[in-house]
Amino acid sequence: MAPILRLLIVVAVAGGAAFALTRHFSAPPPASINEIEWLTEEFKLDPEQSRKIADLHAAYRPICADHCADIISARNRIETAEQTAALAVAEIELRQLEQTCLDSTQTHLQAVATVMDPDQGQRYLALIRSRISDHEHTEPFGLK
Amino acid sequence: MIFVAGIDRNVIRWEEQALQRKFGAEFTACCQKIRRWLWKFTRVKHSLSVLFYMNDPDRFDSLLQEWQPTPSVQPDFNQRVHARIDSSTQSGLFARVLTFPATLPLAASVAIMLGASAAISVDRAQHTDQMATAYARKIDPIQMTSQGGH
Repeated sequence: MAPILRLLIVVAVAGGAAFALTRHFSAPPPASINEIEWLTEEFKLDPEQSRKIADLHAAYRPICADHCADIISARNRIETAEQTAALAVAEIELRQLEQTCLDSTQTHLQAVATVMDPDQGQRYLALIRSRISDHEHTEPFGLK
Repeated sequence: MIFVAGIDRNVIRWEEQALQRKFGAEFTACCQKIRRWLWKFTRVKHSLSVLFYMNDPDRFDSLLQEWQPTPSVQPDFNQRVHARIDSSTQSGLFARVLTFPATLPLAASVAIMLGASAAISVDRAQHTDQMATAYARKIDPIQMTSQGGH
């Protein structure tokens, strides 16, 4: 066997085996998340930053719940609308509510990012914004 | 001379008397067998014979000098030797690296490290992606409503 061929085979087998074994025996991701713990680990937050972000999340939670309730009621109105005019009005209202929700969420994300170190804040925005603004809302997100 | 005489007259004589008192007949018999100052000639001769043998020319030396081997050399021996020398000197660095004995285990070790590192990177990227998606789902009211609300 030619030396180069033997070398390539050994490298491919060794590298592939190491890749497969490492992936096979690596710990699976946790089924449920604590967002503050994940943010702390992922974006290297210090205790003060973690506390501030936890406060921001706690303050945002009722706002999020209100928006959630408004959107659900708007969707219900669309489903129960019998007249075309009422349906159009309900759809406009829903789009406005969704835009309000989006703006509110973006504001919250920006506030959270401001607490982080600048580099980590930029990374946080890039990571999370793409999952919110680009989502078409045709189906829910879910863990893979 | 004074030192030797003093040792002989005082120390050694004192030691002999002490040994005679302690061992008696056994010491007397020992003194009759062993000379005080010089070996017996037979022992000296034996010792010198060892030295003499060491300096004696090896009897096989002459045979070795006369021995002329006559190996059977193939007619194209020189050409083959030069061809191998030429091929080894003309091969490039890459070929020499390939044939180096440590290349294979070294390459395998590097491949294992790279493979494991790649797997860890992929795992971490997937984990981050999953966690970020789950986090976004938790803070986005629109996504919440898609799943039935809070």
